[in-house]
Amino acid sequence: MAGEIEAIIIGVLASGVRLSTPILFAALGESIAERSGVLNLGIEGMMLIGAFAGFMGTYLTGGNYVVGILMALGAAAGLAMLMGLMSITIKTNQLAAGLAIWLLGTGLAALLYRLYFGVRTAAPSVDLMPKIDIPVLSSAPGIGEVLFSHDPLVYIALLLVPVTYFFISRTNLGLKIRTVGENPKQADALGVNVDKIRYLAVILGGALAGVGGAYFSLIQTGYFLENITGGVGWIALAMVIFGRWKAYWIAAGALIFGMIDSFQLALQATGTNIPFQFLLMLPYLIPIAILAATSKKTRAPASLAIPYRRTER
Amino acid sequence: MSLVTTLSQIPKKMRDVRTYVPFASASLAFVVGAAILASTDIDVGRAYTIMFRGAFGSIFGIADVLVKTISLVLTGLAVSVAFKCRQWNIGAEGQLLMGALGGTLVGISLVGAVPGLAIFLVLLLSFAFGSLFALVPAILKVKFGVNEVISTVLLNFVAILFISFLLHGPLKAPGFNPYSPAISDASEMPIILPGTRLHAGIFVAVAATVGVYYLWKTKIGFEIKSVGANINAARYAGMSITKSTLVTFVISGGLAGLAGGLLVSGVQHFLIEGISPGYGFIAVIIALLGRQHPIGVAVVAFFFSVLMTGSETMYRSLSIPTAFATTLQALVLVFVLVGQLFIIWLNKRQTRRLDLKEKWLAK
Repeated sequence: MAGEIEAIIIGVLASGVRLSTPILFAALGESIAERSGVLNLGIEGMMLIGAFAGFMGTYLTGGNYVVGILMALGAAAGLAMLMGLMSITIKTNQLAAGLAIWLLGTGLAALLYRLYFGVRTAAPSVDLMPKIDIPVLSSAPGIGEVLFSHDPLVYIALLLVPVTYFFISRTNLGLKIRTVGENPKQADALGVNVDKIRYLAVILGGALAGVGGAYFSLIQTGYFLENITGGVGWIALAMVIFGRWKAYWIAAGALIFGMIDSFQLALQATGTNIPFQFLLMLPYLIPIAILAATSKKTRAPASLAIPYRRTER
Repeated sequence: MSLVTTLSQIPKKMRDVRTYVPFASASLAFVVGAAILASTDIDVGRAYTIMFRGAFGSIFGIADVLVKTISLVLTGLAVSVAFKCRQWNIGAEGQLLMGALGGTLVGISLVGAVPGLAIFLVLLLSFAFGSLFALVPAILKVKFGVNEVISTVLLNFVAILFISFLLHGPLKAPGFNPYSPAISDASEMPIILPGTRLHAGIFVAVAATVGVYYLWKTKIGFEIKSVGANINAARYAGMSITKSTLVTFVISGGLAGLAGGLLVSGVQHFLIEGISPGYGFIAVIIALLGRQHPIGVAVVAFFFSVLMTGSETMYRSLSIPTAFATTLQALVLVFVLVGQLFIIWLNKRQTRRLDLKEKWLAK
């Protein structure tokens, strides 16, 4: 009996890690964009486009995940470029631009899927990306299954946490991104090309969101559905605020969230008396509760959501 | 009279190319839409013809366009009232659903069978339910500083799940399907064009449009708008930020709730999951394109309703998915925003020319 419970707990924790992976991709990407001063509300749309493009690339190549991921990355980066064009070059209100990208991505992903794959009796699907057990580590009791027995994207997401931290706080480019987000005028005076840095950060963030989206179609389900991401892009936005734009805190938030989501899914499977709709609400209510508990203490990058205008002559 | 003097009599704004850029950009969205359709061997000309005919080809089509316009105007106004006050309420969809619930509760209760009173209560309760649901993110914002964009978006999902719970549980009518019981006849909006689905809710939409137009001229309207325009100046002038935020959300959520109540009372006559095909999300585009002006919102809402109605016909006769309408709507917004690039270029060219002229005159 004790062994059974242990197995259940390990199972819940392991699936929690997998559930937090797409949030991790999207939130880390978003944190880079926001650090540069661009609030990208379009990530949900970019994730959906990524989910669709990733699925299509993998499907058309007969199961080549690398092509799928690259297509997800490229398609989302394309939307991110459009976001950059509106918010950086044209200096549209960033919220309006982001909302436009969100709705465009949502619509396009649904439309293209229906147009190219039609309505069939059996939904077209791809094989799920296989697991890779990390040698030695994966056989460690408990922790092995929780952390070291997953698909490759989980490892990449986990590696991205220290990488993002290092990139933002320790590299020259990271410093430029932070300066541009805090004080673009000063950055400009120092000879940094504000617009270029912001474009770079938004496109990088968008590409990561695209990979996060592909996680749904290539790893969690094996097929594409309208709104398959179910609001994860918005949850990622909440995690960026909770994590105070810092990679490790964002990762902590994403993991806690993944665990709670995994727990409510496990509860549903046990067939409790709680109606499943209330359990399904948890993933949406928890980020709001987290924001309520932490929002007053956070400080966003000083120039977040403010387009930079060089005073002319 | 020479041609030059005739031209100069046209108002300056109408002679300015910049006035027409947004319209030209918007039509580009249709070109992209055509390209997407053409990539799958669809006869684009036929598709657009069918779209147009679906909306205007018959009295039923026109009535359907107007029925959808009701929902789009009300949600569009809801979002634009919030946006005008710089409150980014993206939760119109959830507020609409809660309003639909409010309307249903009246309709299936005893008071719902009282003629006259029933309609009034349907409207009142759907407004109230939408308002109350919108107060959640408003209070979270003023009390705890929760970003309203995120909370309102996420609460849409909560509302969808809550309605699903009710329709599978306490509110489920006997039978297999997750439907609520039908509302009483007295709670149904009367049909104003016999034989079609056009109902009296259109007067509510018109009243709301006029109401929002005059809202900005009232003291409270001015106050909530000022808080949005410049929070520090408004605070200095002694306006309460908390009160303004709450009032904004009450009005915004209430308008979205009305849209939901009218969907039940005017169209569906019972509550189902997916009673709204995403009106609350399309409303975001409408508010942005209509520049938060009630007339602009009404015009864009009508135009978008044409797209949606036409798109349904396209689906029936050519199986082009209805996501085509949503995509076109988003594309129109993106193109209008990107079209600003051309205006920026025109402005630059103008200043450069004026500069040259100045230099030449200085010589």
